[in-house]
Amino acid sequence: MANDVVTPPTGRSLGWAERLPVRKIVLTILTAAIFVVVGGGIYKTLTLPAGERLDWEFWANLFVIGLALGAVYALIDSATAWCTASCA
Amino acid sequence: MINFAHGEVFMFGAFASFFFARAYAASGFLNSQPIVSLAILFLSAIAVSVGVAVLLERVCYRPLRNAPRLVPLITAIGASLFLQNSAQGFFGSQTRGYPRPSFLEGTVTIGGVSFDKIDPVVIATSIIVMVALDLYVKRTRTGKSMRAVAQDREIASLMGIDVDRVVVVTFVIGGMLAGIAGVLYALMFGQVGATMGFLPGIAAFTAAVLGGIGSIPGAAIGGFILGISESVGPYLLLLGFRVPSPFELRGVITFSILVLVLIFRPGGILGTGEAEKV
Repeated sequence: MANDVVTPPTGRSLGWAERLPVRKIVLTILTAAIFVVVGGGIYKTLTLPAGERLDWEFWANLFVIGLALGAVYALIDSATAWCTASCA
Repeated sequence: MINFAHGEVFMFGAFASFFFARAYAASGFLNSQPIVSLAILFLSAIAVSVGVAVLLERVCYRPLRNAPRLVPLITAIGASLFLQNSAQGFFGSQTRGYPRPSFLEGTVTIGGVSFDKIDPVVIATSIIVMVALDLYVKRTRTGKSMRAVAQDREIASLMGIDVDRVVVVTFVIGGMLAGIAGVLYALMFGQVGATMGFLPGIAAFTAAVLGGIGSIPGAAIGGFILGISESVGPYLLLLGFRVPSPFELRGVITFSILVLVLIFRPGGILGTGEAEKV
């Protein structure tokens, strides 16, 4: 209607809060948390008391098993990667 | 488009070779002629996996080539469940023991470290196949067409490349690799089952994202990193926190890696830095 009043934009904003790089802050906190958990976990595992500590043969064995498992994943994922890329 | 049914292609290959392996083990042929037996196991797995992969492409994916992205994605999940349930229906839902030739039984000790004899065989076979695939994609005309189609399907088509043929060739190669991987996985773990393809399929997708979609060296690196993380990671990260069964949390490590890669580097280690294909 002709008498309707259209409120003009006030130009108000949240100020500094609006300019906060939220994504960057979240990613930084996440990175720090990952470093703390991963680094702390590795440190605590490697400094377990002598009776509970795993010997290097165990770690080497796990590494070889991981390589073999990774080899199978590599075979599957190279195909997945190409099928995905060519059909995308 | 993500081929979520690729894990089932892998599973069908493993199952196909299982029937031969079981019959050969019962007749003694598996141990009297191990090389010939293994060759037949690999060939049968490759034949079935290629058949399933090509059928998937022809029936499920080709008609949807120009559909919105969500449609083939849902179809891929549907195809995966269809194949998984079909395998459960036809082969049973229980896991079956997969016989191993006697020369691959037992452990070998090198430098004080003992591991299963099958492990180095799996690693060596995978590296040889990956190198062959990389050479094929880089050095042959079809490989060049595959790279062109992966880069831009429409432009490749305008350059005279038969896109349908190239996609079928890609699925044939994918099927061959899935067949080989199926036999290696079955030999490694000594069992096959109708649901065996699901987790390796997702893990392999994680590895592909980690390495960079469309990069074969990236896929290899991603696969090895993920395999080692899944195997060593639970103990290395969680044992110190006194978690009672760290190995049961290997899936948590896998999917945490997927999420973190998607957040920090969606293009993967050797990828382009773009997340569009994912």
